[in-house]
Amino acid sequence: MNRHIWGKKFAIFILTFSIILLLSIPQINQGSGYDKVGPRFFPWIITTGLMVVSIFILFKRSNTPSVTINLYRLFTLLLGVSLIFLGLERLGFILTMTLLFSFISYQIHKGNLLKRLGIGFMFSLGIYLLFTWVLDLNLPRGALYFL
Amino acid sequence: MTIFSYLMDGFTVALQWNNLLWAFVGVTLGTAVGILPGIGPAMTVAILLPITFSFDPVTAFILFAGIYYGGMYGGAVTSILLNTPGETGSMMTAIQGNLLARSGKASLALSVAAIGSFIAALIGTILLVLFAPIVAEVALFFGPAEYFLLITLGFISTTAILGKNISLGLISLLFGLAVGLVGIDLQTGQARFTFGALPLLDGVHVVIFVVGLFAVSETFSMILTQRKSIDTIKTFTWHWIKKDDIKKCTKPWLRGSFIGFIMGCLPAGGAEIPTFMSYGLEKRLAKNPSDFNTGAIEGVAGPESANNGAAAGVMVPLLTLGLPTSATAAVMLAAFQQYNIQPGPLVFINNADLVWGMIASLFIGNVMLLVLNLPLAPLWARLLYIPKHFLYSGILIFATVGVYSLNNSIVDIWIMLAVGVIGLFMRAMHVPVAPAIIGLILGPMAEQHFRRALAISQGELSYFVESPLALTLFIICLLIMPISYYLGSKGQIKDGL
Repeated sequence: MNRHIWGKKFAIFILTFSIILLLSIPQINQGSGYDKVGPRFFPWIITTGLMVVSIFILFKRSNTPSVTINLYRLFTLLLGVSLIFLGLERLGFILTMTLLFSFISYQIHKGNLLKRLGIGFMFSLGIYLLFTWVLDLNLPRGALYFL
Repeated sequence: MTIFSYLMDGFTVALQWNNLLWAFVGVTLGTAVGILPGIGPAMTVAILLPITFSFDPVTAFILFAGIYYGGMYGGAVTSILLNTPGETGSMMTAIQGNLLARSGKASLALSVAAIGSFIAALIGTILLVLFAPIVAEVALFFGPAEYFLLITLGFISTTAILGKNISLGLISLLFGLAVGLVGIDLQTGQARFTFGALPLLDGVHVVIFVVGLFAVSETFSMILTQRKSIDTIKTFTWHWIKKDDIKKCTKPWLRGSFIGFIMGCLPAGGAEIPTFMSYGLEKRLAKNPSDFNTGAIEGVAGPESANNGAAAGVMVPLLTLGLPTSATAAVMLAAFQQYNIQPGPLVFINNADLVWGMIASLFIGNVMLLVLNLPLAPLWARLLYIPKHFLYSGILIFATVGVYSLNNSIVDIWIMLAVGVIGLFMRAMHVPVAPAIIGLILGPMAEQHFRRALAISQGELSYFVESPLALTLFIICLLIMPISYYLGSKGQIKDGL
C-alpha cells in the first residue's frame, strides 16, 4: 500500500472520531449552573478543532512517508493478546503472563517454545512475588491459588 | 528560611538510607533504559507510575528523577556505540561520538560524554536551586486568567516543538484534550463523552493513557514493523581521557551546560534544540573544523552537556509552573497528579520536603551516575545483547501489571490496549505522543481556569488581558508560535549544522 495513503487513513479515522464526539455533544446535559460557559463549550471547541485539523491533513500533501502497518498481523496480534487477557482472572496472573510473554516473544522472534515458556514462567513468577509480597499489590492467583 | 537551608533540609531527606537506595535504583535503571534503544526514561517512568503508587511520594520522585538523569547519561552510550540515539536529545552526540568510536576511540567519547553530563547536570541543578524559587514566587500572583494563558502557552509551545510538523502536533494535542473531557464535568457534575459506559465516568486515568501510548504502542510497533537489529561497536580498547582532551573539552562542556539549561527553561526550548545549537556553536568555534569529518570530541562534549543541562532546565517550568516541556516532564507531571500534588508555585510551600528532597537527590544521583558510567561504560554496553523479543515481552508484562493494579479491573487493560493501538498508528504517522499526554493532563485544568475566570469577570473576555502579567502571557502566546516553529525547523536541519 502507498505509504502516503496511511496518513490520509489516519486523518479519516480522526475525522470519524471527531464526528462521533460532535454528535454526542447535544447529549451532554447543560446542568443548572449559572456559568457563562457550560459543559458543552470545550467539547465544541475541541471536536471542531479536531475536525478542522484532520481535514487539513487529509488534503495536505505529505512529504514524510508513514511506516506501513500490516493490518492482518495487527488483527491477529490483538486477537491473541485479548484472548490471553480474557483468562487473567481465571488462570491467574502467573499463567496468563507466561502465555503473554511466550506469545509476544514469538511474534518478534520465532524460537524454542519450551525455552520461551520457561523464561516467561520464571519472569512472571518473579514479578508476581515481587509485587504481591514486597509491594503488597493484589494480583489474581487463579489456578495457582495456593501461592 | 533561605534557599540554602531548604536545600540542606532536602539533603536530610535525600540522604535517608531508603531514599539513597531508590536514587541508586533510579540512576541504574535510568542508565539501562537510556542505553536500550526504543526505551527511554519517559516510558520507564510511565511503566513505574502505577507500581510506585504505594511508595512515599518523596521516594517515588527521587526514583523518577534518578531515571530521568540516568536516561540522559545512558543515551550517550547508545548514540556513541550504535549511532542510534535512544532519545532525541542524544542525536547530536551520535554524529561525532560514533565517528570517534569507529576510529577506535569509543572509550574516550564515552568518558567525554560522562564527564560532560556530570558537569552539566551539576551546573544545571545549581541553577535550578537558584532560579526555581524566584519563578515560583512570581507565579504566586497567578489567578485563573494567568493560569489559563500559561497552560495555553504550554499547549502552543509543546505542539509546535514536539514533532515534525505543527498539524501533527496539534492533532495529538486535540486528541489528548478530547480524551481529557471524558468523564464527569467537575463544575456541573454532568457526564461527557462516556457513551453510557459506567467505567468511563471517572475519565481515562492518565497512567493508563501514558502506559498505552508509550509501552504498548512501542511493543506493537516492534512486532509489526520488525525493526532490524543494529550493528554495534563490539570491541574497543580503553583510552583514558588525557589532560589535552580535558583542556579541549572544558569550554564546550561549560557552553553546552548553560545553553542547555537556558533552553530547557523556556517553554519552546525542549531537550533537542539546545543540543543542535551547541553542536553548531562548537563546529563554528572549533580550531580545526576538519576534525568534525573524522570525529571531534568537542562535538560530543558540547551537545552532551547541553542535553543534560536541558534536563535540569526542564525542571524549572515543571516545578514552578506545572508546565512540562519534554515527554519525560509530561510523564513526571502525570506522576505528580497520581499523588494529588499540583506542581506550581505552591508546591515549594506545601510540598517543600518533596521538591527539595528531589533536587538534593539530583546532586547525589549525579555523583552516583559518574561513578557508574565512567569506568563501567563497556559493561553497560553489554545490555545491548539482551534479546529484544524477551525485552519487549517483559515490557508488556510490566505495563499490564501496573495498569491492572490501579483498580484491579480488566477494563483498564482494554483501555490500555485501545490507547496502545492508537499510539501505534500515531507512531507510524510520525504524530508526537507528548502533546496528547499534555492535553490530557492540562486540558481539564485549562477548562476549569477558563470557566472560573469567566465566572469572576461575569463573562468579560477582556479579563484575560487585564493584569500586566496576563497581558504579558497573552503576548508571549502570540509570539511563541512563530518562534517555536522557527526553532523547530532550525533544529531539524541537522545536516546543515
